[in-house]
Amino acid sequence: MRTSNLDKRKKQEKRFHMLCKSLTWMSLVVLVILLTHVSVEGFSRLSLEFINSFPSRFAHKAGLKSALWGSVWLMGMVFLISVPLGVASAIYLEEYNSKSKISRLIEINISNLAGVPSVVYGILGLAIFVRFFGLDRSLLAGSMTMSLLILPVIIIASREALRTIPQSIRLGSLALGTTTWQTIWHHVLPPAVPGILTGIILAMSRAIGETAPLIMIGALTYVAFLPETPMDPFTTLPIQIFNWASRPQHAFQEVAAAGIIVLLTLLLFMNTAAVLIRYRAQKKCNW
Amino acid sequence: MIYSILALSAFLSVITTIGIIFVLTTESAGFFKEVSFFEFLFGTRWEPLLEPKSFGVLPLVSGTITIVIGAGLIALPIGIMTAIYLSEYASPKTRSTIKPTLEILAGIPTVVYGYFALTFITPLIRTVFPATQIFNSASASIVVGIMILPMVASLCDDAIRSVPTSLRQGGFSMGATTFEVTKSIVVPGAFSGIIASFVLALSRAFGETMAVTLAAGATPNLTINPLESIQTMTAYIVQVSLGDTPAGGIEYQTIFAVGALLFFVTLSMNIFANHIMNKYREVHE
Amino acid sequence: MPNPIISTKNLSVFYGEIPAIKDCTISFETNKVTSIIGPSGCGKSTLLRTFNRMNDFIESFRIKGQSLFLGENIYGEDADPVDIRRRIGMVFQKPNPFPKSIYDNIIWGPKINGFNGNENELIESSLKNAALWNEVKDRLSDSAMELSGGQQQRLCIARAIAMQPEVILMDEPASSLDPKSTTRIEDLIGELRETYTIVIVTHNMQQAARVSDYTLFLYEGNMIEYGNTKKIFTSPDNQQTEDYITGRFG
Repeated sequence: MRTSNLDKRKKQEKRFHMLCKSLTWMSLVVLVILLTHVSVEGFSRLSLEFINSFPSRFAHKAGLKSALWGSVWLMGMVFLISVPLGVASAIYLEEYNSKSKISRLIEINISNLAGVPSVVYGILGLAIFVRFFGLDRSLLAGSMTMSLLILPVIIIASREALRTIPQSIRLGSLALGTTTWQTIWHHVLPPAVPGILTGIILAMSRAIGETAPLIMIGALTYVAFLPETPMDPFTTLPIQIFNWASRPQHAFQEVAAAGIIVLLTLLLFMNTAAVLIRYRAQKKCNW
Repeated sequence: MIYSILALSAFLSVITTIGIIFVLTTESAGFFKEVSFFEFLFGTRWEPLLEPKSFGVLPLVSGTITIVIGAGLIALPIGIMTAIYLSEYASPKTRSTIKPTLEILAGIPTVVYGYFALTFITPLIRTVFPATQIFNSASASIVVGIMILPMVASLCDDAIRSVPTSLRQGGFSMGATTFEVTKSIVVPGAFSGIIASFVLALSRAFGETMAVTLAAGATPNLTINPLESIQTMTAYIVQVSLGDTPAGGIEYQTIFAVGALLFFVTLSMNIFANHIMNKYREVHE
Repeated sequence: MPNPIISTKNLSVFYGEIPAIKDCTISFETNKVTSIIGPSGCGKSTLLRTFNRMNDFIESFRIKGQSLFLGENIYGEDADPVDIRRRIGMVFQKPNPFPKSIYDNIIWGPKINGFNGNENELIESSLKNAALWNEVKDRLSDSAMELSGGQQQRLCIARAIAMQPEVILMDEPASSLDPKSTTRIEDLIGELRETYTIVIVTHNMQQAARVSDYTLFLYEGNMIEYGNTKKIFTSPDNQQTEDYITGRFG
């Protein structure tokens, strides 16, 4: 049996190892290329003026003001709607009746919703919020649609956070004669907050970059004013970027790249905050 | 009292699903009064706005499938090789560089990928194939592939890591190379998890919108040539919304018909993938 | 020592800063069964694994001194772990058959190594030598996972034998099995010594006394005593050995 195929096998092993290694490092290469390309294209257009002007037919005058403020407004409203609903759902599913059939059903439902394409949420928002509720193409319709989109993300992340709290904490509190809600509010929720917060930030990062659902509900692609009430029409950063990128003139491509730099920077801040929160929380409590 | 508030919040997700199904079916019902199922599903010409109108959805489906297959050809092999490298070969230092890289790639908004496809990838393709159109499915496929790659890598990584070390040790102790152990023992052991990850990633590619809208084009085109412009189901839905379509007309209803098809396909894929994942979880416990 | 097939020379093993084996020099005789005994954590498994380089998979593993196979340094520059593991087989504490058929479990190793002889003959002889043939001969295509614990362990032994190794290392092979299976494995070891050199780690002293020709007593990484099994268990030279054997500690 001792044929000397050992050399052949060692060569094969080496080749396989090299193949896996190079394919893996390709991801880093792609990321670097992408970021470099965007930065190189857009850097020249970055300026305070850019952030503070409205979009225009002329590329050299175009600015992010309405898009940036639209995104801020939208994120604020999405936060106010989705966070209480998401955390409340997670608490219900994790702390009350977590093993019941209904909870299982809701769980499956949420995991399916997480996989639904964002356009479909847009279609839902269009039919229900814009048409049926008559909210037209307003911030309110947009934020309600986006909230539905990121709700599964918040619920799943919050449940994970709640799950890391050891059962002994709950039992210790209940043994003192407190209600389930008191136990949750005083003992379970506080240490779970960093995890929940991280989940919320991740969900908001997703929301800030979403475009399709907002286009569906009618967010405009050319907006030269700032929204003043939740019922006003609006535009957002990614929609503005999409609008600029769709235009054939090279000058608009540059402006799009500048917009992308702003968007990615915002995302960088948000995710760094999430990492810091997670890091500090892990240092503070080790069960 | 608090209990009811919490419970109602949880039910919201159920209401959402019901809402989606309700909206899609009722509006599509209006559409299917005018256009037969057969014509919709098997017709090869999609022209809902200009005369002579035609409502065969195959060009849109073919456009979507072209993107999905193209993205899959990139993301699935590279994804699983990356997962194998990370779990069987890589040092902790490498893991701590590559894992965040993948997370970052996954977190970049799709408009950015669309822009990248349009302004970098397409010109690149055109230097090799000058006949490529400005909007083409190859460029979009590549970029969607990059988008779903982190998902494949991460899910496959989980599946591979859950194969018990004792099995690997058994293989190594018989004088096998890492490649041989991986091929004959680890990958078969993680097989259903790997397949589930593939299906989930492809389902995500199915529903991808902005990158394909920017890069692949707006011409419904029944073709397998990746260098031509096409339109996906998702891009069509966006296109109609960007225009001024009066509510209630048949053009408006096409949004829901195409949307329903999209929802149905992605939901089936996700349910299938979850089913496989649950089956495999049982085997390993 | 007439015919040492594996041996060590001033071998020390560290996991990071923690010493697991301290300056151990020993030779194991060909075609004999040697057992390694000692309390938990004294380095028995570590010593065993220096022979087939299964310690390589632990990040913090460091080695000083030498482990030798037929006089060649197992950790030398030119040494190939894959080749060594082919010639020095291992049976683990918990049976770990592959989730494949019984047939595939046994034939996989030889096939990879370029075996192109009669597969059925090899499988039959391996299973016979592992005292498993009669129980599985009609269901070779069944999954190995359907076998009982004792059967799975004998399958692992058959699988190791199929590689035609020169040495078989056994790391507490019967410790997760019931008494009846344990007895069968012990009988098996007795038969296998005709063809192979066997080194067996065990924390069961009666087993060591029953099964082995030579015994090595390790304590906290140090080699305390080595010699003929009968002698070690009846009149050991070292007081520590006697204390361990009579159950005063460990």
